[in-house]
Amino acid sequence: MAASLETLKRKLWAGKADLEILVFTYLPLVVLILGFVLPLAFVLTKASGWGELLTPNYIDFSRTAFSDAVVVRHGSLGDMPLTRIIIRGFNFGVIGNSIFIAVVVTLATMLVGTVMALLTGFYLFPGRRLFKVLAFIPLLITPFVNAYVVTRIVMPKAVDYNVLSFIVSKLFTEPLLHQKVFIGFEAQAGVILAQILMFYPIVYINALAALAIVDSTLVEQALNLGARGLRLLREIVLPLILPGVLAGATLVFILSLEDLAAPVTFKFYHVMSYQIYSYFQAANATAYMSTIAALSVVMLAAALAPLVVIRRYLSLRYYARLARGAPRPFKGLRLGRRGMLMAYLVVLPFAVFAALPQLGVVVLAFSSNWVGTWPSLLPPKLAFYNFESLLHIDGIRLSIVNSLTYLAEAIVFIALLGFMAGYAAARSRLPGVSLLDLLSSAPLAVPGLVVAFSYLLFFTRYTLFGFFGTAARLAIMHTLVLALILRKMPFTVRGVFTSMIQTPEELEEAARSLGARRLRTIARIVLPLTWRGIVAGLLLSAIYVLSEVSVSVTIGALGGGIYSAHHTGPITYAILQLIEQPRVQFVEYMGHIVRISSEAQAAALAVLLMVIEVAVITVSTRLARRGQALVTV
Amino acid sequence: MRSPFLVMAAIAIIVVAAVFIAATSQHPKTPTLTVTGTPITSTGAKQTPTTSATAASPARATQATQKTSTTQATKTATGCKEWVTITVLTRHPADIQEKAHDAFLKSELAKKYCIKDVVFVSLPAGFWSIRIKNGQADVGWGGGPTLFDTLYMQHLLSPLKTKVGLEAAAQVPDTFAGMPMKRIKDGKIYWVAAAIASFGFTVNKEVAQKLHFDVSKLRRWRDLASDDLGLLLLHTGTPELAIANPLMSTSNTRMYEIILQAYGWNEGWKILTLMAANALIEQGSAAVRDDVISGKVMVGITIDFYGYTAERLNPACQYILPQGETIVNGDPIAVTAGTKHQDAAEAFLAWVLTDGQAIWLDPDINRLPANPHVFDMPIKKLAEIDGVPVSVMEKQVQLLRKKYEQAMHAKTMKFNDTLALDTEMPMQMYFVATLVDNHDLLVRAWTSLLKAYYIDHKISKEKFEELKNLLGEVVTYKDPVTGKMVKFTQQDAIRVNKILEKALEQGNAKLREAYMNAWRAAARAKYEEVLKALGG
Repeated sequence: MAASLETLKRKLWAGKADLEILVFTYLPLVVLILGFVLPLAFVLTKASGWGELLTPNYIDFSRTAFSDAVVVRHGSLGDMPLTRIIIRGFNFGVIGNSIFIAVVVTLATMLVGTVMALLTGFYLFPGRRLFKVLAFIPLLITPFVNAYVVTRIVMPKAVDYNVLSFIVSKLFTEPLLHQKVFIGFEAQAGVILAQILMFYPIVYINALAALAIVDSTLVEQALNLGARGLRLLREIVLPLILPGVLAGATLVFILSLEDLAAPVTFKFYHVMSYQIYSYFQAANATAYMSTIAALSVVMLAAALAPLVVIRRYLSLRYYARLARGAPRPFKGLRLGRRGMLMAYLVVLPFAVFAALPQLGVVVLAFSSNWVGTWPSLLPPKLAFYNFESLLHIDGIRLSIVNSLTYLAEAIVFIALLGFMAGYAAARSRLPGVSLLDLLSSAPLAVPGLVVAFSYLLFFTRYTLFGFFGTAARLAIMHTLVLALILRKMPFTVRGVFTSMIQTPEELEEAARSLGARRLRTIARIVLPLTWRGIVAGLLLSAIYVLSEVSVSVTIGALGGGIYSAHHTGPITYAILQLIEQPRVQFVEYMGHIVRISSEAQAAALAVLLMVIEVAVITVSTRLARRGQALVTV
Repeated sequence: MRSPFLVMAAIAIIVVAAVFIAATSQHPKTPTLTVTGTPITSTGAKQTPTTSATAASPARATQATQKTSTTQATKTATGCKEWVTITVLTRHPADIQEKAHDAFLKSELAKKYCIKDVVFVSLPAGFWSIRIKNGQADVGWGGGPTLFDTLYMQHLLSPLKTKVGLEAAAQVPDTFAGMPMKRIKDGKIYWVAAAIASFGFTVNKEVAQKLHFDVSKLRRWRDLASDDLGLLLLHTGTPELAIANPLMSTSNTRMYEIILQAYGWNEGWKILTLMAANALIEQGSAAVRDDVISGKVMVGITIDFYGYTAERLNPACQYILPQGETIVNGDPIAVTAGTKHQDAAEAFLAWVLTDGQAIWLDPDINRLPANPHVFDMPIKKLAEIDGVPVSVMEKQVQLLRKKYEQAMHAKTMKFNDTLALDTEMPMQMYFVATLVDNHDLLVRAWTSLLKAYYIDHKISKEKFEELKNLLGEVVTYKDPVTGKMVKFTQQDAIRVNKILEKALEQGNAKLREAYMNAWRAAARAKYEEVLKALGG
């Protein structure tokens, strides 16, 4: 500590640390420590019970952990033989599962996301636009409803097709083999599948942004020298976009660790995030604080490990750019015949499948319920019934207003603090920078529910003159916005950081040596070169603020149910209440009765959320005139 | 403009300023009791009209203005000096909240007690005690007697004190079908049932038919633990029964308590163990209901109104009452300790117990009221409260009166409420440690056993029964306090409950984990023993 103070003093003395870099480094750091570390420490001090974490309930690599990974049963249904295939995966205990799932999902999304990015960003081929749109769809997050739809697609059903089985049976096995097949994903396998579908666009979007700033001269030189196909990709393009891919992969790893929706949907409770969630969902939850805390520490450590490793890796492998001004993006290469085959036979079906949940949400929004294999569509005259019935509820209109308000407030602070933190992490050499780098990504690694829980305890006690809190309406809103800012800022920080290290520092040094202050350097050199990465990061932040679940449904719920006149819940909270409530509505239509389930209404609300998300993305893409990194829909 | 960064900074400053301005103008709208604890002063009342007008959307603004004008009208009529907002912690779903909110604010009681607004707070049961301790709640409503008895034991409920509250409570019978409808201690009433419910299971007959399973075989709780259901699991690879984690569902907790009393402790745990082995364990009662409706499983254990919802959403569903093995439960309402608005809180409670009973008769809600006088209220008034046509309400009154009488005369069992309460915490924890946390292993042991006997004919009937007994036997575990080996009998559960309660009062939560760890390890050993005996 004394040593670093000494360094600080020396640097200030030598004039190396200007005012701007001091602010950029320490302002976000202070905010993160006060708003994030302290509340968490409040809870973490109560951690204990470490020995238990070594028992088979938490880590289990014995023989039983591997059995029944895939269950195959033969039988018959009606007049046809039936094979049931249930893919369950393994059960390595709470901690083992979380880490296994995160590793598998990260590797798979790296592969798929990179392939997708190369295909749409590097090659020219007929139908490229379709791929872009498809890869974009899973980015639209529709909490709870999405999960509900995924179960309808891949969860096994006893006596009925799920959507996946229907497609496989009707297209292949029934006509070809005269055999029905029920395929279902459950438990660990289900979680892995759902998370790959959910998260691959994160790698995709990061890889695409990295691809957009690859200097075309490098590619052209490689082409001139005869590099083609895989070799060109492997030796030139991949190393150049690696920082982007790794940044995306790091995010996926962390998101997978903290994800709650997939374990809940697939009823796979032996993961850390779910255990933490369930402990304080349960009655008398305060009694379990020590376990929540201990698991949080493990999760935090697991999530931070790759960040540390990758940061070192990124700084070691700095691929020099040609120092002659801004790069000219590569215009694209024509895709060969084998590439086309692969694109249409392998990548396309996957992209379509990954987009199914979102499409299902849209269909459900125009349906009355989803009881059988397919949703029951509403009669044409009632097609918009779910939307109309929603807008008659004041509380739901208010939830939309709340969501937009939170987004508007949060995004400004995310942009400012996120840029400062990302910039400082890449450029500042002041003591505490590596701490800032770690801390700015750490909020992603802590499950939102733990953040919510720590906020509930912390801000009930320390309200900062009533500005924060868990009781008064505005105080709740401030607390919620603070949580949103800190939890969703990392997307922007990573985006800025990646762009920064792909931009040669020499340009800034040159400007500064000619007398430009740091702020001017940032405005004239850094921003023009890195705004693409910043916008990509902000975009992710915005989407994740809108679709944030854990804090929204806990802190957000403190203002009352969605039927309270002044509730503080955003859209996700309204969706949760609609999904949770046991409500069936009967609407008489042409002499027969249509049964409308609340899930269908929730789907309608989710569609509204998607529309807002699309609007946000479209606007941002328009702002960034040459928005090649993102799709315009 | 020199730099975009300056523009961004300027925007940020403007937004921050806007937030502060909004903060100062919106502050009074905050529920008074939750800010600093001081009651609303005349300034607060004066600023009321401005509060809602800040709403962003025009639609909301109009609605808010209307609301304000009615408030002002009543203010002059009743001469209220202080307007009160009450906060209601609730587990009831949003549609019930919506109906109660609107109907109550229109009521005479609300006006008389100067209640400006009711804020419903839907929080997981685990959050309730924190909220109450912080003085951030006035009423608790819905969530089952389990939750309310937990709060009562933590001294978080306030007994009824006012005339209006006590008079309303008097309209609810003290017991219904043998079950208490109030928690009374030393002549003081701590909670009162606002609705009643029975417990049973819901079957999906279409699924049963496709599986060639005779639904009439499912009549008692024991039938859910049967070899038949286990064999279905073995054949299809997916469970055909759904149940819920007791720590996540108060209704399922009550059903497990019913089973433990209907069959006795030891036999009850055998049934619970095999039920769990046959089942998909959900993290909530609503999920169980949805599994039955969607045909994911053939049968699920549900509270009655979930059964009725299932019947309405999918006509193939049918709610079954296990005759002689069920109880009728009261779903409470109570005033929370530390409320600063005891009078207003009791006024809300009184309304829920009287005119508010009409909400249960709403065709979209369909629950049984706790106060039978609601059936004698003028149909027109009921229809008005629920906002449905008189003809619909007439049918509803007939239907629910019939169900009410059926419930009253249902063949119920004798249920010892005190005993249930005395073992509840250990029961839930033991269930989770042995049956939920070890579910994979339990299912593997059970299906291997069934396979060995029914399919491979590897073991004798006697051996099968012996191992089946072993599987469901309550465990003998090393007590973390005494270090001795003890069996988890009913007596032991009562003992553990006392230890845990005392520890929790002292803020010691580790002991709870220690017991769960001990049970988890013992159950694991037991399941492995069965697998080992089968050569697995």
